[in-house]
Amino acid sequence: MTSHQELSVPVLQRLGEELVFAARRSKRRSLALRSLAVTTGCTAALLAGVILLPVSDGDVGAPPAVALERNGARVTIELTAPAETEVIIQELERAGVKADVRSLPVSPSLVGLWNAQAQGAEVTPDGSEVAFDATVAPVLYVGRAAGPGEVYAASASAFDPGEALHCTGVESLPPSGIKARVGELGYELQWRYEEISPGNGGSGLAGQVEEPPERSILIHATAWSDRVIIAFLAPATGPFRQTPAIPPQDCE
Amino acid sequence: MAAYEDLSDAELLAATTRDPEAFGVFYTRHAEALVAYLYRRGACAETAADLAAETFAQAFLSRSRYRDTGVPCAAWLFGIARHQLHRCIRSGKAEQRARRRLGIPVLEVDDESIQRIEALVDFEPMKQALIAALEGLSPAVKNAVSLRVAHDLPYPEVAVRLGCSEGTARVRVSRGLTMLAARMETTP
Repeated sequence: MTSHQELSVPVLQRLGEELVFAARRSKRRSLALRSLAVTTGCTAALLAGVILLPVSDGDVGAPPAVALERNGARVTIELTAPAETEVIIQELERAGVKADVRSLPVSPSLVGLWNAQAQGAEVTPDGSEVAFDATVAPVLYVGRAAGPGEVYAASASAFDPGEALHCTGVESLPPSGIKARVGELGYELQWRYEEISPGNGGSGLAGQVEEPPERSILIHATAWSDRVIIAFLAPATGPFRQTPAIPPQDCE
Repeated sequence: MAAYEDLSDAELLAATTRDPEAFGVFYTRHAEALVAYLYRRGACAETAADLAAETFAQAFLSRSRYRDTGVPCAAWLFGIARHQLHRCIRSGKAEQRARRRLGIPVLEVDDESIQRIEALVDFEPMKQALIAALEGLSPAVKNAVSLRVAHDLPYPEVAVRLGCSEGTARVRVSRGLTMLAARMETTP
């Protein structure tokens, strides 16, 4: 951490210094382990006439991917660190839990979370935990990064951190401005227009339209893929007429 | 160091295995935004700093599992933070596992840091969002939420004031909070 990188919060500045120090220490430890492995390998090779490969430092010190809790036959699994499905399956097997873990393409902020499409299991709304009866082998889904153009199986609000429209200012624009801005950002835009009765939060029925009325308000947007954004609009009346439907975001 | 400033987050994480300083740049790039995010989500300033520390420690330990597929690295980092926040809400305290593994001490959050963290977040947009979300509720549900949450009244009294059964009052409050949570989800 050098002076030009000063953070405005003193404790965060100190934490940064501690992290870099810990990173240096971790690297020295990895190198020491590798050196030990090479030395051990050479010795063993001399003794047995074979050559051992040095330990990979890729996962040295990596935390477990899951935390597992049992309550009788009930098993709750939390994803504690980002990991491939194979790693999760291996860790569950080591804990004596049988589950089929698969991945689904999801929007960025849902990557690494349990997906609600699980079969034989219940997923918490935030995607952090999945629970099931250990007597059945459930099919669990973990969100993975989608490939170019791949349709998301699930997507968060496009305004969430890490999502396509986070801190882009789109929420305050009229439809024509939204279309232009989303186009500038490199996305194709599709409209959904929702009729809202005064006094309720929306009918929930939103039909696809080519050109929405200009006096519409953006009430929601989500990504269909990394190329297509679906924007939900409502008439500029009812519960959204006086305050922004999507609040301004606290951006730098 | 200057060269690192030009690297993407994914490139910085990859470079961390060769040079720990790269993680410092990654940290500096996201530290304040992450603390502000945690603070906005309801953590007090001290807890937000604590959770951010654990998040970065876990991100460092998990960096080899990050795959650069073009998805913003910030989403991966904030995903870890969200996990930490939910665990903290359930257990009542921030975890320290990753920090212990790395030998990072728990830092005392001084008054100045608390003030600076509080200054990172402008709550006015959240206030406006909450007002907008409340306006979207029906009067019966809005009153139920207001009496239970803002006035901290017990359910039997909420029910008396609303002229309904206690069960109905509970349903209204639950429905109202669920709707508010869904609307507030658009607030980063």
